[in-house]
Amino acid sequence: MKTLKKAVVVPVLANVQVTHDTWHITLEDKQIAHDSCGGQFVNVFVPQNNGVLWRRPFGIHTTDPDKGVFTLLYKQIGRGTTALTTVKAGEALDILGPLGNCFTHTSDLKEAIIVAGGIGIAPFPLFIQHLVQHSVKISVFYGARSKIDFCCLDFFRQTGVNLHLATEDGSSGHKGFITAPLLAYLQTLPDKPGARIYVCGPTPMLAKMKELCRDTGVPAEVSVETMMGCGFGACMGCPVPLENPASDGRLYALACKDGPVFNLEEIRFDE
Amino acid sequence: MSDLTLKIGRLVLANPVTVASGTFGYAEEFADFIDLNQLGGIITKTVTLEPRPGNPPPRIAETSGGMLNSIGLPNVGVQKFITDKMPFLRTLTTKIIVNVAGKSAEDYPEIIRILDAVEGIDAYELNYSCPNVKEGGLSFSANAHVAESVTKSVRAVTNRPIIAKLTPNVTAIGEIGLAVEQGGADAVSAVNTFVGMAIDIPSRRPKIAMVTAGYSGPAIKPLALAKVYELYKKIHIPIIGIGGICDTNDAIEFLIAGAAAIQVGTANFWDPCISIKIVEGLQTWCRQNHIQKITELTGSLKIK
Repeated sequence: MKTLKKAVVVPVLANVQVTHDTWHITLEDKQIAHDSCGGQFVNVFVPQNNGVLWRRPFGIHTTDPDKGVFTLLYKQIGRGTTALTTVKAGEALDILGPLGNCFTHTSDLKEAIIVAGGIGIAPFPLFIQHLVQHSVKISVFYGARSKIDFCCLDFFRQTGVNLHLATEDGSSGHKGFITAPLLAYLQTLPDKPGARIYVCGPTPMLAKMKELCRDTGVPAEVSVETMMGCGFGACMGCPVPLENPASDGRLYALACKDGPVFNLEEIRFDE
Repeated sequence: MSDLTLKIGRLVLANPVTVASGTFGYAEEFADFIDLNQLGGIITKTVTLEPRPGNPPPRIAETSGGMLNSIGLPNVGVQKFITDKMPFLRTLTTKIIVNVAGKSAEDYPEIIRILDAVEGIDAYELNYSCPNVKEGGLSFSANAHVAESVTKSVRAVTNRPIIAKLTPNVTAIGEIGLAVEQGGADAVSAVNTFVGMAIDIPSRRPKIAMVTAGYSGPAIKPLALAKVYELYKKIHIPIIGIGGICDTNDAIEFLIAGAAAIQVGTANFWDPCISIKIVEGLQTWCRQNHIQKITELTGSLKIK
């Protein structure tokens, strides 16, 4: 059955800074905690601040269906996310969700290779929570500018995933982009047909990943990050250029409605 | 209960709250959030003769109190609109107003002729004024003669009510309003977006791929209100007020300035339930203020 999107005001249980620029907020809503799958997002109405109008979309980070709570991981970047950092436990947030589609888990999946750049890590723990229950082998390739930017390392260690780190400044793991150790890994991968890559990160990284997946023949899904005016298909402000026109002639998909998860080979990165 | 019904020409609306074209998709996008039948009417996303892919990204930018958009009227074209979108719209009891745009003047009567054979459409809104289309063909409401002749050509092919949506990017909107009235329009909707732009300083690039864009949201409300007032003094057909309406008070201001009905636009994006909240808000306000009929409000501005 199709999950209904809904507009709901939910209690904030915690809103905690976890790195120098990244926050973790815990929200209570039974339905969202129960129904959401990895890749989906909620669109958050931030407290009015400096003329902010739009909601801000955030991938659902984790859920706890038993407790009826879910969390978001967000980086403080602009007016919206700055306003969000001021929200305190005990207050409430107006959200829409769950929105968008999910990462695909087909029955032939033997190994999930998760590739994240920076805050692109945010939507993966929920997906990993799901995969763990299905005994899928999980490898995580996680790149950041510096050691101080990493989040959820404890979660990965507890989950027992095969974790690879890279930092641009070399303060932790491989020095450079995460795509280098990933490429080395893919080249020695014994069971390519059972493997699938799931990626989220900055656009230059996605463009590089597209090349890498083409070269190694490992299929990939990507969660795109774009500006959104509404989050549910009304404003059409989040077009994602398609590599080839769709069967109905469309040149663009909508990140909010058709995504945010796409097959990497289907979408184009212009810059 | 106060009487919220009103007439736009021959079109009877259950209440003055409608939703603006381009902010409400083809209504199905909002079906999870609200009871669509509580609305006075739904104005669809623009339909054109041929499918359009829309503009490249970035299409939207947020500014203080407003937003810029240059979406470029992406749509499936009139034939697929009829087969793919109308079946859902036909299930609704609220009024369905189909927004139509042409690349050329000849497109308008042609699309209307096609749609006129389709059941479940209550009226047309003619988009004369999308600022975001490359062809430049959509500035039909910037010239009074052109606006009049296009309206006339549509009037000749349909008996359904026609509403001309006017651009505010003109010197004298009242003249354009009179011209479409002469051309046989049953009503005008005013206003479409204002031309605006925003620049990303580090890259010195426009924040919108098409450089300029349509500006909407609460920031334009005073500008739009003045245009509605200007039209009200000049024309004799009903005005559907639009421009930055975010709550019940905004809607009431438009009615007092001269609008018979209103459209909620940009606010639908951050609050998909806002249109229904305004319907409820109007009912409450009318009761509290002993307004028997909402039509009493239209043009009730007191100047002294």
